[in-house]
Amino acid sequence: MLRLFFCCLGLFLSQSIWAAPADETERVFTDYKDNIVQVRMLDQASASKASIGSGFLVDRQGFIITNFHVIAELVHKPGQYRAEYLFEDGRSGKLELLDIDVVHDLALLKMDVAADRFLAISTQEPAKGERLFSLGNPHDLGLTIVEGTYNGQLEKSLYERIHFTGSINPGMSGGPTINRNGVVVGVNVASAGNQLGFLVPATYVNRLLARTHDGQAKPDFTALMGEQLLANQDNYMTALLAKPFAEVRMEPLSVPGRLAYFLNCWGDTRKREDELYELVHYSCATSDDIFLSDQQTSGVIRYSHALYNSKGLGPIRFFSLLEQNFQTERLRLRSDEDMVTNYECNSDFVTHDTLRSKVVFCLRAYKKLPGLYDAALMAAVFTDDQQMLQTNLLLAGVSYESATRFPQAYLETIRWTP
Amino acid sequence: MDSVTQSAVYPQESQVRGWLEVLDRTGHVTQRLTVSHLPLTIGRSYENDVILDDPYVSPMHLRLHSDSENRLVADDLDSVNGLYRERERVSQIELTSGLEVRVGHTRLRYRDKDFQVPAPLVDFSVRSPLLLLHKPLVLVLVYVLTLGWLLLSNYLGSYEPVEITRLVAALVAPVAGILVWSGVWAFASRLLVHRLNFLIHCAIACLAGLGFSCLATSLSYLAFALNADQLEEAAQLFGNALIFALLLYAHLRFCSLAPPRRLVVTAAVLAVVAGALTVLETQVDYSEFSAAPSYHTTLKPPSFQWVSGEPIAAFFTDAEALRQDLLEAMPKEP
Repeated sequence: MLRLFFCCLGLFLSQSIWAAPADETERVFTDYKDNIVQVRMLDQASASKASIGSGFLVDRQGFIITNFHVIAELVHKPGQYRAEYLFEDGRSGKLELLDIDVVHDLALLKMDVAADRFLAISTQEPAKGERLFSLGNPHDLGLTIVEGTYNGQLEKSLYERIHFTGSINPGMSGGPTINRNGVVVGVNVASAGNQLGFLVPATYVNRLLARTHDGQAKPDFTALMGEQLLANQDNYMTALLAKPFAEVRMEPLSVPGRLAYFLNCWGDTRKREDELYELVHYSCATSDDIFLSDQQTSGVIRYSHALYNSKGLGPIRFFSLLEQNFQTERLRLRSDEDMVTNYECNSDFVTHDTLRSKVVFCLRAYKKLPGLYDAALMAAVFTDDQQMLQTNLLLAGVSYESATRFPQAYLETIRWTP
Repeated sequence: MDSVTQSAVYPQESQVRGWLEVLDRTGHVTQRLTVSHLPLTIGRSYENDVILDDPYVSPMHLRLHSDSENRLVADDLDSVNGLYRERERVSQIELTSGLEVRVGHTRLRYRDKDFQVPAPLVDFSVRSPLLLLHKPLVLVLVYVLTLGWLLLSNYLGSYEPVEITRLVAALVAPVAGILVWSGVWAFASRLLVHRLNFLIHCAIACLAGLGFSCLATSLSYLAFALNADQLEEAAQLFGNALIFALLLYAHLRFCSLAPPRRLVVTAAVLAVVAGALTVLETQVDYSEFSAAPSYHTTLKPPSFQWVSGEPIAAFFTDAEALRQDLLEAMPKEP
């Protein structure tokens, strides 16, 4: 009899615990689904959808927020594409691009009709572990709700991102992630698979809305992209160059180490019995980038050091190995021929702090964004005939001043410290 | 049709007045006919002194005779297709030394017996170093040198502990390449000069391979020493074209009976064409868009560095030139 009582109690408790959130998800979906749209990019020539994303209403005037990467073709090829919204109930119409925040991957659009509802945008950071609901149109399968939890902001990211533990899939980009009260906490932007989702914090939505309400609508979006990228790189480059570079020891040299909180660094040593050399490797890179187009990313810092030690290879064999590995191919970056030029390079011997180096420095310009460059540096730092350091550096989307000052400071950090 | 049937009975030297030369389309002499007793007739019929097997020549086409002033004159015998000097049809013409006329489709040139032939060409082929390839010892030396160089190159390009089997195995591909290449030339030799000359063609291919490899290695070190990576490509292209021309010339010498001068011209033209195609390909590659910097650079032991380095700040000051190049290459707004 007692056993039956506990069984009934257990069943009751389990239903109470698990049924409530399920009901809540259903309620959240029902209450807020009419604020979500599918954002469709239509090819003008074939009148067919070329890509899709999601968006949400943020104002009675019909303002819609989505990701910049959802509507980027409106900026790059305005004559070829147009944008449309599609509600779950089938209502659709034209969208007009009002403003962009390319650095935080946001765009503000306006429907051709006013809205009778919209979502509020949060001004406060949720508590870690708070249950959140992400909405969007994954793989064009229809409006979907995904449960997850707030896990704070990424600590090693140059571009602020919320870590959302929930499945964000292609097509959900630009959709909102809301709390149980329907307040937008972030905008779906990326996924790393296995319940690892990333959101643009609501702060940047508020900032974009405030700016647009100030009357800065319909600017020259390409010029605006250039201004935003230049200002952004100026922010982090100024901070990086303001203090001496952090160093890491690679015996007998000191080399640039982890230069900022937003860089992710790794190191390893390769020793193999069947090879007559050892390789100590250290590399750092920004963990995310700025989307400019399907083929072009920007806002990247990436560098690595490889210290080669010969184990009985003669100088000619040793340097034959080093010459083969001294390839600029390592500095490949996703690139759009319409956006950037080819690299132009300089090469010379350089002396610094009793060290001699052979340095190759390459520069390429952004065709439509004047003043922005990608810079690549390859240097072979000679210590003796049995040891050499190879280091390379890639900076994407920086001003000419940053493109030359940063690599200079980087090379100057390499010192002989036995 | 330009062939001439002539049973030449050589006359007394005192009777010879000059020579009538029958030319082919390229201007080369195919037949020489003595002009001795006059008058003489030229035509297609068998009663002529000079018979031309040209269907456009009339049976009795031309008559050569001496006029009152002892000049040699050619008369058109009312032929169907006439007598031409350059593009002008004439009925009679004085034949002076070097004059060229046309009857039907046959070109005739008269040479006076006093005509001065050019000085003889010096035959350099008897002093050609290629003749050394007929000596077995030289062939063996070339093969040993090539194999030695290949082994050394493989050794210097490997980073693993030395294994003889691996080094020898690496010889298979280049040796097979040399054998196939030489086989093709030997086949051509067999067809054209009825001798295979296979071992000689192998030696030529080996020497060219050594040349290409040594040139690349030495230029690579020189480029590093002088920090002249950009010049290395141009020097290598020129050097490779030269070696390629020598390679072709040497092969042709052993599979053709044509005069050396013609072989030199043929080899040079082919090498220039190959060089031009390489330049074209390089230019196409260079102009193609690349997501990574495409820059070739040499890296050797620091003891080979002959030029001094510059300070870091000065190096980055030079980057301004890169920026200017990029700005100039930037597409202009319409």
